[in-house]
Amino acid sequence: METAVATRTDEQLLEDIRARDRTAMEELYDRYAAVLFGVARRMDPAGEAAEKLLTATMLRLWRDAARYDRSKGRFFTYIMGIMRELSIEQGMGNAPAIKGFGLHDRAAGLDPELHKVYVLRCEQGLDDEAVATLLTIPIEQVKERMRRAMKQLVNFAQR
Amino acid sequence: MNTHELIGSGTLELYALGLLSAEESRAIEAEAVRSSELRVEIDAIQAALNNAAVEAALPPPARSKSIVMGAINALEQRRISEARPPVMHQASKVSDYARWLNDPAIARPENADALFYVPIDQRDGEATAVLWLTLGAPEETHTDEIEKFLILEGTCDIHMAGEVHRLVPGSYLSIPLHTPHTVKVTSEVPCKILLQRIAA
Repeated sequence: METAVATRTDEQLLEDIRARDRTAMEELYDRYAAVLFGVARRMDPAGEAAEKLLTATMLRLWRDAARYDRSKGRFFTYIMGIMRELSIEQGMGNAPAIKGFGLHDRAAGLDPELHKVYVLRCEQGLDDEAVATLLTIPIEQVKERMRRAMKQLVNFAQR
Repeated sequence: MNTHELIGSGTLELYALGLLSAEESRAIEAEAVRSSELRVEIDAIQAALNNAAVEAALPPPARSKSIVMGAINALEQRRISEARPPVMHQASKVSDYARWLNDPAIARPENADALFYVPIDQRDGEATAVLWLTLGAPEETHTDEIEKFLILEGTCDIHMAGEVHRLVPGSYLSIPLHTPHTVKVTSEVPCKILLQRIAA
């Protein structure tokens, strides 16, 4: 609906959603659906699970709007957290956020030793300990490589 | 870990991507409470990720919105029909009844009668309704139920036992048994009242 009415801020929308105002939920949907669907689609390029993930995320927001804590970061980050939890519940992979944010596509550009850890940790879903055993390196080194890998990936996004 | 060890280490990126354990995440959040420098850094990483998401926005199928809103409507219908409005008392507030009052079905048509009544709930000797009075209500005396008023909009005077109770939005009044009372609307707009009758 295209109207000239002043739009509500995210905070106002959340407050209204807490008071069970369904128009606020519609507004929130219109504001975020395309961004969330873009993220979901990257997690699941075929699209069917992506739509399910979008609708499930919106319904969870309706239920849990009161749980958003502003001091823990941006509202959009909160929504992404919900989406990430649901995507794991729906079996959409081990590191959904990495795919969702498009970082996965850039992983091939990582230094080779980082890429190896990245693949085991994020694609195969192994934990730090299993990766350490497999590569016969100390667990601390696995963690350190993962940190460097993520830093490089997020840096790619910042450029 | 302190702020300076965290910044630039990649840990914050792992945090923002949800790849840390719950315990590790809590440690970072605790440190962020203390350190504004850390908060700025986390915010910048989150902003970068958000921008990456916004750039890749993709309109979902049109039906998705009706799926979401249809499910929410169904949830609300069920919630409203299952919950019973609490019995009013001296400290009751209008917001206590918001979930029932927000129901779009509770509305007064333009050409409604001077006394218009929409029931909300009725069971076990407790009846709750919204009442719109344009002028007032004639004298009544109840012998088997306690009548309770909570004013939602407009104003009215309730005359009872030689006293006048001037009611404004948010005012509550309970009418004892065997007590004659009349209502006179004092506002331009109809007086909208949340009304309860509780079997005595």
